[in-house]
This record gives sequence, C-alpha cells and structure tokens, in this order.
Amino acid sequence: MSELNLDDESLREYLAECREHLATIETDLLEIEHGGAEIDEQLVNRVFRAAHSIKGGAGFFDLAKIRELAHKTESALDMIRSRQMVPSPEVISILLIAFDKLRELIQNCATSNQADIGEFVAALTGLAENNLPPAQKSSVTGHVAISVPESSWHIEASTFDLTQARRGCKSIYLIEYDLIHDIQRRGQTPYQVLKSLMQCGTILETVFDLDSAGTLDDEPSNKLMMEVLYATVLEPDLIGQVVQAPPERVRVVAKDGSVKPLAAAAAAPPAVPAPPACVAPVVPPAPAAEPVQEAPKKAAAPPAPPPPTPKIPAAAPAPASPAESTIRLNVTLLDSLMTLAGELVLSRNQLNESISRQDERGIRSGAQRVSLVTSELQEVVTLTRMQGVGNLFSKFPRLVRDLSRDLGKEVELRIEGGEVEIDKTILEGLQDPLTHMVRNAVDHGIESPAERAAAGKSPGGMVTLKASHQAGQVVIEIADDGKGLAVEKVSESAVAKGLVTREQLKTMPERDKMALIFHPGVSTAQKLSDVSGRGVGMDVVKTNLDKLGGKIEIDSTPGRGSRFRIKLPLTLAIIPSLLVSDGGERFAIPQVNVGELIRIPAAQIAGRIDRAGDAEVLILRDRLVPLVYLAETLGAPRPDRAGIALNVALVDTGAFEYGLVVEELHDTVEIVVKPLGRHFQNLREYAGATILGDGHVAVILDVAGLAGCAALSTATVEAVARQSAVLSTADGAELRSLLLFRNAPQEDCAVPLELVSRIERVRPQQIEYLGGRRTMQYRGASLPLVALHDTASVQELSGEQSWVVIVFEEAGRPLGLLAAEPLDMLESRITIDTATLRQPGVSGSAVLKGRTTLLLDIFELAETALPGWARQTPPPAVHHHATGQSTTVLLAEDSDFFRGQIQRLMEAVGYRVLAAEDGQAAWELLQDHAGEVSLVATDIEMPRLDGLALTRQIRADTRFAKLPIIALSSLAGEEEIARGLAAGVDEYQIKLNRDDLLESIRKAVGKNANAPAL
Amino acid sequence: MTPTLQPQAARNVLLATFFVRDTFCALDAATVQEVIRLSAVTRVRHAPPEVAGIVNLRGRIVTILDIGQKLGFPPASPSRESRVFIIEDRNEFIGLLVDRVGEVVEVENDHWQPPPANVPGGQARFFKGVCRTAGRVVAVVNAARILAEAAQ
Repeated sequence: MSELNLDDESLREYLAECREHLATIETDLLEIEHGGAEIDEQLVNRVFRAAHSIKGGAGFFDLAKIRELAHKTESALDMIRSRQMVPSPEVISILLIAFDKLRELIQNCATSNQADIGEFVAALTGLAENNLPPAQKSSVTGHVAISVPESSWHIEASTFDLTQARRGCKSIYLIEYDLIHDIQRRGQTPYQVLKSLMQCGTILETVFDLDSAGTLDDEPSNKLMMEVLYATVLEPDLIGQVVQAPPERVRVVAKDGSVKPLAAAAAAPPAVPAPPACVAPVVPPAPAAEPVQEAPKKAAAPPAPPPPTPKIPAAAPAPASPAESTIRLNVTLLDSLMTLAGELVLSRNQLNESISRQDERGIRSGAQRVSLVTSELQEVVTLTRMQGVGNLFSKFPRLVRDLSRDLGKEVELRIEGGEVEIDKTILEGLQDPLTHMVRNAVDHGIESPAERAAAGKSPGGMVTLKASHQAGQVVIEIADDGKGLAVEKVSESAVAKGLVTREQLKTMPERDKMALIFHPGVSTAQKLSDVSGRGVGMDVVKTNLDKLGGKIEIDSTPGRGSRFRIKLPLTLAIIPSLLVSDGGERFAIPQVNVGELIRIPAAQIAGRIDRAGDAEVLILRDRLVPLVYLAETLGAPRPDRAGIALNVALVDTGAFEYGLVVEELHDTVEIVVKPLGRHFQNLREYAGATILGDGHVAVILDVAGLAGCAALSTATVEAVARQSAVLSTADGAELRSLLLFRNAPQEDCAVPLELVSRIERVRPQQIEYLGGRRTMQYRGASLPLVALHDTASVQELSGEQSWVVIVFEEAGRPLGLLAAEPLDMLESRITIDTATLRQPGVSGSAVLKGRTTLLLDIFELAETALPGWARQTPPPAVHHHATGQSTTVLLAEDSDFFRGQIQRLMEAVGYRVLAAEDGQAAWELLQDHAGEVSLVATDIEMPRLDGLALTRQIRADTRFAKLPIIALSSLAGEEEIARGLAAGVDEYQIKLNRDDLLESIRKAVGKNANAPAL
Repeated sequence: MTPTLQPQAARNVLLATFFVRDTFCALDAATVQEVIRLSAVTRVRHAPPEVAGIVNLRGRIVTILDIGQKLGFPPASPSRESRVFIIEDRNEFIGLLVDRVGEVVEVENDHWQPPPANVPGGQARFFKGVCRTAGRVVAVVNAARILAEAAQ
C-alpha cells in the first residue's frame, strides 16, 4: 500500500472522482456563503458528501495528507450542517483555500504525503474550536482508542468525529473485512466496497491489519484484514443489508469505546443519541497527528480572533491545471461513432470489390459513400470535442468574490449560456484571456460602492458573462455596469506611445479609439495595481484570441459600463484553409486570416508597388499594405519574378494586415490540423501541419508569427498605416455571400446569393424558343430565360456542360438565367473592380478563389435582354408626395457595386436617389437637401462615418428626428439589429432583397407623409 | 517502463544495423517500430539543421532527423536506398534517416565495448558502445541521446 501505483485502475477512478467533486465544490461553497445563516441543508450535504468521499478514498489509498485535510474540511462542514457554525465569509474563505490545497494535493497525489498542510489544518481546527462550546474544545484534538477484538491492536478515532457522529443519531460499527474472501473473491475491489458504505453513512477510519497476513514463518493464513470504523443511522438489525461481511465480524461500538458483537446489540434497545463525549480522550502517540497538536496552541489561545487564514500569494493565478487528458463522453455519441466506423469499413469493402472487378459505376458510388460517411464521421468526432462553456465560467464566481473582497467592492457575477458548447482546445485557450477580462471588469470597470452611490447607481456592481451561438460562431460577452472605458486615457496613452497622432485622434471614430487598448503598452490605469494595469494585458488578450481564430470588439458608454464581445469559431480541429505554393512547396493559410487575394499583372507591378522606407508596399485601392515575400522570409532566395504577375494573399493577423507574396494561389480546402513535433516548438511561423489529398504533408502558416520573422513589427505596420491613414481608414471590402457558376467553360461568374430564389437543373431540349425569346416550363407557367451572352460579349454555353437555370424573383415574377455547373457558394470579403470588365449585364469583376470572376447585374441583364419585360412590372403604389414631386431617398453605401444596384432598383420604381459613398458624404448631402429627403437607407459598415454613427448623428438633429432610417445589411445578427435599433434605425433590410426593401420604403415614406407636418 | 522491469536475464540483444554514410551503425531493434522508405518529405524551413523534414505516416506527422548530421557528417543526400527508422520517443514518432539498411544481427551482451578512444568526442557521445559482428565492428547508437539533444 505504501507504494502508490498510479496505474491502478481503482486509484485512477478515485482521482477522477475527486476532480469531479472538487469541480462543483467551489460553486456550492459560494452559494452557501451567499445564504449566510439560513443554510440550505441539501447544499451543505452535497459538499459534505464530496469531502467525505475524498477522505474515504484517501484513507484507503494511504494518502495521509489528503485524508487529513479532507477530514478537517468535512468536520467544518459538519458543523455548518448542524448549525454549530455560521458560514461567514471568513469560514468560507478558509474552506475554499483548503479545497484549493486539496486539489493541488490530488493533482500531485504521488508526492502528497510529503506536502506540508500544517497551516491549513491549523486554520480548520481553529475554526472548529472557536465555534464549539468550551467544554468540547478538547475533543477537537483528542483521540479514542478502540480495541479490535481477537487482536492485539486498536483503531484510533478522533473524539470529535465520534461526538459529531453520535450527535446525528448515528450508531458506530466496527466492521472487519477479509480483503481476500469477502471482497476479492466476490469480484469487487476494496474501493468499491468503501464507496457503497459511504452511500449510507460515514467512514471514520480505515486500517489494514497487516499482521493478520502473518509472516513467512507462520502457517499461511490466507487472510488480509481491513478494519472499518463506520457511522451510520442504520440500526444494528438493518446494518447487515448494507455491509457485505459476515455478521459475526460486524461489531457495535458503544459510547464508552467498548466493542460488542452485533447480535447482542441488535437485541438490546437501539442506541439512543446521548450527550456526546463520554469517552476519555487519550493522548495520541501517533507522529502523524503532530500538526493537529501544535495548531491549537496558536489558534485557540485567544478565542475571539478568527483563525489565521493561510496566505496565498495574492496575484498568483490558481495553479494552471494541466489540460485534462481524459474526457467524458455521451455513450450515444460513442455508439454513433461506432456505427459510422462500421459503415466506413463496409464502404471500403464495397469499394475494394468494385476496384477489383473494375466496375466503374460501383467505384463511383463506393467513393461517394466513403465521402458521405467520412463527412458524417468528421461531424460526430467534432462533437466529441465539444464542451460546455459552463466548465470555464464556473471558475469565475470565486475569482470575482475574492477580487471584490480584496478591492472592497460589491460585485455580483451573472452567468448566462453556460450550456453553449465549444471545442475543448478553444475552451482551454480561452481561460487566460477571459480571466484577465473578468479581473479588469472588477478592478477597472466596477466603481467602489461610494463612487457608485455618488453616481446614483446601486452600490453593488454587476458583471455579466454570457455565451451564445450566432451565425455558426460562438459569441462570448463580458459586460459590466461600471464607469466605462476611459477613452481619453486610452487615447492619451496611445499618443504617448506614438501609435497615433493627435490629429488622427480628432477624426477617429470612438470605436477605433477604444480599440487602441489592444495595442501593446496602452493602458488606462494610472497607478499599477496587483490585479491589472501594467499595460500588459489587452494586447496579450487579443494575441491569445487571435491564436484561437477569435475576434474581439469593445462597446462602452461612459458611466454606464463596457461590453467586450468575443467571436470564436466552433472548432479548430478542422479549418478551411487557402493552399498556396512557393518554390515547389505547398503551404496552408487558415481562411480566417485571409482577407482577399490579389493578382497584380506584370505590367502593373511598377505602378502598384512602392517603397515606404525599406519596406515594399502594395497600393491597394486607397491603402498601403506592407508586402512580405514568403520564400524570402523562410530563407529561400527570392525567385526572379521579372515579367511575371505577382500573387498576393492579403492576410490579417488581427493586429494588422499585410500582403503575403507567393508563387501560386490554389484552392480553399478543409484541412485537419495536426501538431508539429517538438523539434519545431520554437518556430513561430508555423501553426501546425496537415495532410493533403495526395498524402503529402504541408505546413500551416501562422501569419502573425510569419510577420514576426519578416521583422514586420507592429511599428513598421503602424508607420505604413500612418501614411495611408491620410487617404482612408477603413477597408472597403465587405462580407458578401455569392453564388458562383460558370458561363462558358472558362468563364466564372457570380451573383449575390440574396437575389437567387431557386436553382433548377435543365437539359438543353427543355428550352423552348418562342417569339425570339427563350422560355421553359416552370411550375405550370413559362419562365423567361436569359443568358449572359445575350447582352455581354462572352462565349455561349456549350452543349457539353451541365446546364442549370438560376431563378430570380423580379417584382414577384420569376426570371431564369442560363448557367452551367459547377456551382459553388462563397462568403468572402471581396473587392469589386467596376471598371476593367464592365459590360451590359456585368457590373464588374473580382478575384474569387484565385480566379477572376464576373459579377452579374441581373436587373440590367434582364432589362437589356428582354426590353419591355421590365415595363410589365406593376407600377409601384406610392412614391410621390402630394406635391407631385417624386420622393427622394438618401442612400449611403460604400461599395460601388451595391450602391449602383440599389440605386437602379429604387430609380426603376420612381424614387429620386441621392447616393453617397460613406456616412460622412451622406451627412453632407443631407445638410444640403434637408427639406427634400424623405428617407435614409444606409449601409452599416462604411469608412469615415459608419451607418450607426450616421444614424445617431441624424437622430441628434431635431430637424431629422422623424426621418425614417432603413439600415441595409448583408448579414445581420440579432445583436447587431438591437444595436441598430438602439442607435435609432427604424428597420433592417437585407441588401438587394428587392421586394421587401421597396415595401418597407413605401411604408416608411407613407407613414411619414401622413404625419402632421411640424 | 522503469529500468528495473527490463529483463535482466536477456543476454543477447538484437541490433538493427544500418549505414550512415560509410559508418556501420546499429540501433537496439526493440526500440525500432518500423522501417519505411523515404518518400515525399516536406521540408520545414527554419527548423534545426538536423531536421530533414516531416512526412505522413498513416495520418501522423513524423519528424525526420538526419542522424548523419548529428554524427558530424554533411547533410544526407536521399537516394533509393535511404530508409527511415521509426522510433517512439515521449509519445511522439520520430524518424531517423539512414543511408542504407543492413541486417538484424544478434550479439551477446558481454561482447560490448566502450567506443574506441579515437572516435571523435562529438560522435562518441552518441554511441552506446561498439561490438563485433560478422567480422565487422558496429557502433551502437544511443537513440535517446540523439533525440534528447535534438529536441532542445
């Protein structure tokens, strides 16, 4: 027993259970503290039982220190339970720290017997003593010897335990187990037996009688005895049902410490609870009890002061628990994995057979089956890695409690959405950033009770942690109702660090100013505190989140509080990535880091690439982007690229973006991330490796690390950014959903996905030519068909392609566009070139998935190809004022493509449109045409002045207080809509959802026109 | 496995022999998981010089070390005879790149000798000892030390 065997199945089970118990204890204790003197017995019982089973197991495995500490906590909890002690914050603090220590001991259980737990035991013992009537104080340290019949030795039990046990109407039994006959031969383990005992009572002591095994000289006894001192409410006549030992070896321990056989006790009247402590304490000779003896001298002398609280280093975070190597899994999940694995084997067999028979159809269907099962398998395996965010959140109530006590604040933590699940790896990576932010919220966010009272707030602050799903991502929010982010201090700090100039600050939107906090060295704290404020912090938070593929946003209102939103992907194990190659080697770049792909023809290189200091920069629209050559950065010579087009992947590290120059850009594929070996631990430029379709390995680039290698520091980027800031501040590219398809075999086309209502496969024979127009049967009517070559000079669809008809809704009437497969969908930030390839029906081009793609303007195409068709649309109902003047709409949209589309759409139904390319321009237009504009339709993300800021500005002006504002958005989450409504937006519309948009314009204008004029 | 658990009685050791350039070396065959052909190595730039690259071994990424470079030879030039000895070390598969494989030979435990004094110190560190087999002297490589020093 003395040698701890960590491979022992029972021990592993015990340790796993301990960890589980400890995981919930903290929350329970905090709740007990919250309840104060009004204790919730069930709650206390739960913690008590947890402590008890830790103790019970520890005794069995000979983990003396764990047992002793668990025992002391158990005693303290027992006193709380029996209302002998009030769970004051001091008491709970000591318990919390003791359980922390227990956790540490269990973590290192192999060395736990050498650990020093003296001060913890002393604190707990002191606690018990201070709360006991004076007469019983000695019982805390006293021991009683109970002699075991038919043997020369005795069990020592603490008087205190016996007293407490008897107080709860319990009888005490001494049970003797024969480990070999009673337990092992019945196929059980001793630990299981102890566990079943613990369900009905408390184990006070366990001792192994090693003498009973005999020595080598004796006759082989074939016996190994275990003595258990057991307290339970079961009467002697019932005990036999729980204890699986022969009745003659179960004995009753009387109050005087004498031991009687069970039979005698069962006949006698049941043990009546009597005034406790009638057994004479004996001085324990055992050296193991030493700390117990010494402690009371320190703690007990003056009865009044609270027991000493063991000091733990204030700033030290809880010892980082090593990443859990085991995981609990729902059996149904495992079953479905098993089923899928079986399916996979079957499909493989089918495939192998088809291959050997050279049955091409079989091979094709087999391959399809394998791919189907594989994706399902992938999905289920991903699920096994999902864990509730609650596991992480549950660590924070304690943090907030301790911190607010230290700082003298009253803070309540509210937790929502703990059931939201996220990949285990992300959850682990989230721990440090979240801890930091919760600390910040308590330390900097929430004011002291006095300050809050002065500001007219309730003295207690509130910190909210909330997790939710949004558009395939997990959003975690940390909000407080404190004083808000001191934007001025952040800006000052950023100016002092030389990150921005005062001139820039003047024009900078509030949100960008707040975002300065994410730069290294920027801080709001004027003096340093233990908790936070050393200027290392938010930048580290951001770096950590970037590693997880997360994004963070701040929203703060002075005096009302701050809100941080973290958006995270669901899983990291399988990620979409862009494949690139350079010098014959392939690399993967996680798609989240890729902004856009740019191909610069050889002829334009001179004009578009410039130098800023030593750095090469790309002139991208009105910005300057630093360039990094992949080959050069990785130590290969820069290939001679004279006369060759340059392929650039614009990548975003979270802190800044740069252009990565590679030889070739390939597809986007889903890759499985595999870790790199330890030889590469120091290489920041790689995030891992993956196996490609052909079985070869490609390394995954870490764009932030790569920038570091290229000595592309934030400082140089800032320098470049400063140059370009003069031109513009924000990225014009916006997230778009597009449907990709082909026209002729080499012509890639795309339309905004929002416009598409259906896609139908079609055979060329189905198309009818009537009256010079193409139509086909569609839902019992004839559907007019157009093709791109009707209006633009492109090639015709060839008969070898598989044709599809993309159906659009134009004013409630369907219109079909002939196209060819393959079809694909893409959500990406794209930049539309509206000049180079402009033709009737083609509004521009963009590089999507490495190919130049034509973007179609379906309205224009329809009007050009089917003249008159548009005129058949029913005239819109109301777009004229009573004055006869046409209604004027102010449209703010930064993308030329969408502005053009929406403007044409509105003009087609008779509105007059004032178009502006950003919020600032819109505001200026509104000033000039204050009397005419009846409605504002605005995009949200725009440079200079965004849609929300524009809305606030309009609402702040009394002239426009009633002006209807419709926000146009490509993708709106509920949160975003709420923010918009708060800013004063009347309605949200999805861009280019023509009918809905026109309908809401009509309603808004109508309502306003009817409103009494001011 | 703790050292005490290793069989004391086993007097003979199986050695998997190989050539590093022209040096006849061996590894304890019990430590070798498998021997694979060298194919499709992905180079990892900026990695330590002895890392020849990474390969895909049935879905696991395996780091290939050029054992010759550890022994002070110039970088290996992979050929058709190049092989990779896969060994497991601290839960990770590592491949040792050798120029050619030899046979598996059985040697008696007490035929071992420390490396001769004239082996350069840099090399001698990585040899457990030498022994004679089939008329040749084979240097037994201390894989643990190569891996330990390579991983720094």
